[in-house]
Amino acid sequence: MTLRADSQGVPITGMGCITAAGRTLDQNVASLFAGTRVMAPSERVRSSHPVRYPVFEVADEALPDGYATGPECLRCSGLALVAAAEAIRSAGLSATDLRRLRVGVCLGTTVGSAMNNEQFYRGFRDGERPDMAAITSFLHANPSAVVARELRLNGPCETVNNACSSGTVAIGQGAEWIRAGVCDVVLAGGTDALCRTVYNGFISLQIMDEEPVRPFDVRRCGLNLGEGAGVLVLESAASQAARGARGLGSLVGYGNASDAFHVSAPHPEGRGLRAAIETAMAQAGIAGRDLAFINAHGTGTPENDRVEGQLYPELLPGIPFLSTKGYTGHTLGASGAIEAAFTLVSLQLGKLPASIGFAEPDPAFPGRPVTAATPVTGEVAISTSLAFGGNNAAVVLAKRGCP
Amino acid sequence: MSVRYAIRGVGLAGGFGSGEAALLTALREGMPPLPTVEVRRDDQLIAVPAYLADPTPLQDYVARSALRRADRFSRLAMLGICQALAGADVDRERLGLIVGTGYGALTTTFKFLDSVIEEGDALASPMTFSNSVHSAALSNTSICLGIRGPGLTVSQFEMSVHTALLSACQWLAQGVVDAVVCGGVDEYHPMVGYCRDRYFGDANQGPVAPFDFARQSAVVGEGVGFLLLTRDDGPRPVYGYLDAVQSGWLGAETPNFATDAVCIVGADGHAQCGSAYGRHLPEGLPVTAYAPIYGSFPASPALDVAIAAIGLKHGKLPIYAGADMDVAGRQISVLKIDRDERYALARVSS
Repeated sequence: MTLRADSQGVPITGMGCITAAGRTLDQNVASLFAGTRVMAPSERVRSSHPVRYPVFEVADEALPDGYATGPECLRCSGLALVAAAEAIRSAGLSATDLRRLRVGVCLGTTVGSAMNNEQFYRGFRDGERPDMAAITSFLHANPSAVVARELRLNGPCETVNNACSSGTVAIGQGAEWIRAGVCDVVLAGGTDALCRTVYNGFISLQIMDEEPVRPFDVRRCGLNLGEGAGVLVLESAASQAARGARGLGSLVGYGNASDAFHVSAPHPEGRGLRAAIETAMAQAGIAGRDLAFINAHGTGTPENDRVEGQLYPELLPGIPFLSTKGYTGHTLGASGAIEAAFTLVSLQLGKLPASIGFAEPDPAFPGRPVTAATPVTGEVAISTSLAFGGNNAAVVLAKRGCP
Repeated sequence: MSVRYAIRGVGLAGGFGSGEAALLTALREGMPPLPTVEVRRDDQLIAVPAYLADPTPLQDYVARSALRRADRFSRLAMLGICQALAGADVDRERLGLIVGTGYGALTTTFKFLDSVIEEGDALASPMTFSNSVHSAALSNTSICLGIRGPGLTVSQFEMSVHTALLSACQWLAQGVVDAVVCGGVDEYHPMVGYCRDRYFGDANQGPVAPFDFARQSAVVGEGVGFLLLTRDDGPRPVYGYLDAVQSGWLGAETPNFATDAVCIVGADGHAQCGSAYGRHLPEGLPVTAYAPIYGSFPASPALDVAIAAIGLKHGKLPIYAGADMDVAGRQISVLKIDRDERYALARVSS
């Protein structure tokens, strides 16, 4: 396989990740390949619903001081700061570099932009004078703005709100800033925190599983929520060369397409997902057979997994796929970014972790995820995301640029 | 960004009404008295002025039956989008849609919390939850109008619209779309009125004095503005060109203006941000502001950009309570500064 000469791959020079599976990317990867997952009902996010659904929660002490408690949007920013700090260390970017270079921030989120502080709203409804600190926090907690402010960055800022495809979209958009010469470096990724509104919301949709999530399994009945953040350092080739920075890989394709079908259900034939994948592969200049594997969205909801389980064997026959949400839960706007990091590490290692939670195939579709740690060969892999409202996104990552 | 992009359509609505004709009437004849909204202050209900937008004209573009699941936020967005697309022959599979918003679908967001509070955690409303996400307007519009190209919702408070425009330019430059409808929308909700009253008290009642930078005079508003953008490869566009989008931090750099530029500033009567305009605008630069016709809300730069495009169409920028400004052959810079002293600048010209 030869990547298209003009595919304008964007070097990835750093990565960071925090989830319930680990506070660093290395810890996360160790959990994936050890087959361990840490989940439990939350003590922080409580609901009067009779079932206490398990979630994948990050320990408060993993967050920077002042970010663990208070409005959830602040927690989102704290998670983003942890992942961004690791990504910057991994890229070898010094404080001087961050001042000298034009560094943008493009992060996806759902909770991080939502003005839905329940405690404040209850006070407002009840005619009390709720403390304005919650609103002031909200106005200062936009995840991209927080990262840019804390690191005193001078490039553009964008917080993507495409629901569950936000992290993937943010990486794709950030790569376009590099290609267009708008930035030397972009901190691109996603972040999201657990909160009562989202917890109650997914319960109301009846797509939460009381058991550990079972992506693509015939008995799957919903997702487990999670929280976390993933950040990639995207860098221009010129900047990378000038710094002498090592390459961890590159982003070679990005696609984004709408189903134009339904507010909360995917198109039954995966119309938008197919278009997003085809766009990403065309940008990379690759054919389906070139892919080493697919990191699927794989939420464990009946509809999502049916669409993906039907589409991949048809569009990308023989290409192994997996869902890593069994290790992290569904981290919503962060998931695409976390999974992009997992995708690149798996390419580098030449192996996939088991798609944990899958045991019995669903006869309704032909797709079967990998069930054990699986060797893979190849230079490129694709990571996909689907979202409320029918937004779909895909990124093609290449290990080209590895040391 | 050295390539420029053709502005082929404009849509806008706000406290002044809906569409270009309503805008020009408001600018030339002045705004009628503003409606008021009730804000609870302690045990009293206070009436405060507000610039409210009416999404009803959307029915001129989309059948009511098709809108039954779209909330007010989505309808407002769709009104601007439909106006921008009116008469354009665009392949909906090659059309991108980018929505900038500061607050998202506020009414639906709080309606979901109402269902939790009133019915209990176990009986929260699934329909309102799925429509409460910021991307609801993007979703409902793509469904109603059959837009199947890429979609993006960005939320960066006052910077949302400029970052949306930056992404639109990149999609066009990359060739992933033939056209992009791009802009911003925000809606009013009583919680916003309450918060503003808590922050600003009686200073929240106007009249808006955008150039009295040190004085708080903002009045809450809502509205929508969208542009239809294409590459510069067809007939000369009626509304001119988007030349560049630039952003940065004023702590490290100062925005550049063309020597003959006219500047529309996003000063809307907020003293905290207003002082930054006073410090960073070059002396002698002709400036104007339109907050007196649309009020204060995060996505308001969408209206400034739309008004600039309308000015280019006529060769004269209409000025609120003043004589039109000749803009033929000149660049119009649309500037917004936020509370972190980050700035964003969109440049348009004929």
